[in-house]
Amino acid sequence: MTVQAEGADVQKTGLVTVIVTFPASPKSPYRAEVTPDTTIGSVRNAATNYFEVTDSAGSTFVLTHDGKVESDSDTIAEVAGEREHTVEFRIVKRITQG
Amino acid sequence: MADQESLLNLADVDMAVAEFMTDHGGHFARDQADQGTYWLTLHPASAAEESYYVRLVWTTYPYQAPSVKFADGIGGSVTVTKAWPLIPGYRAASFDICKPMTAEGYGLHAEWRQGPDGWPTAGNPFLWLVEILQFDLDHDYSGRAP
Repeated sequence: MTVQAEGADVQKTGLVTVIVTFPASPKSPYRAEVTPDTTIGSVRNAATNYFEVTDSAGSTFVLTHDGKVESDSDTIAEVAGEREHTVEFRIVKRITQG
Repeated sequence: MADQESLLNLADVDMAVAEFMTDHGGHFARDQADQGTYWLTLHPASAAEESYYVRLVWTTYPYQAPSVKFADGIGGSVTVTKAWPLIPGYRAASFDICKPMTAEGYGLHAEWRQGPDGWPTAGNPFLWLVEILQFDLDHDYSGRAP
């Protein structure tokens, strides 16, 4: 994943700004500027590290966009399309036990 | 009944919940008689015409999980199996959600109270919970309980 310094001209560089929110954290949303070929899995790992959460036996943290779960193997370009320069995600705890 | 501090804490965060629910076609109402009780209206993405009503009862916010029950309407009965969606861990016959996110779940499984399954007390746990409820309806829903 390529992360550009804050303030870079995203449109000229071709980078995409990703913003990830996770409500069960006192931290502000995770933000990064990434290349379009960055995988969702890479963003998910960076965001879960930032929010200090990890998968466990009974739950996983998934990245959603417009309510849909995004696959780790998909790229930011596939989610953002050609025109979007900012993509917003939510981290949701998928609880599988119970 | 929630304490005064909890009611103030809930008032600080419930607008974010309202925005999230509006984005997903739902809404919530705060109970007139008990301000620590919220009534949510949720719709599964795959069956937008179906409405599910959830009663959330907070006692100590943000420190403890709320009671979460499905009801047959806003202010309605929470002992109607047909009010429940079919989702793994959502037990219509027991009128509870047996997952580490509700007072009922933590009551049944004390081992969930610590470690990665513990109730989150930072940020906005109200929104965290509602996002999971909507997520479950959107991704693990297979119809209405009989």
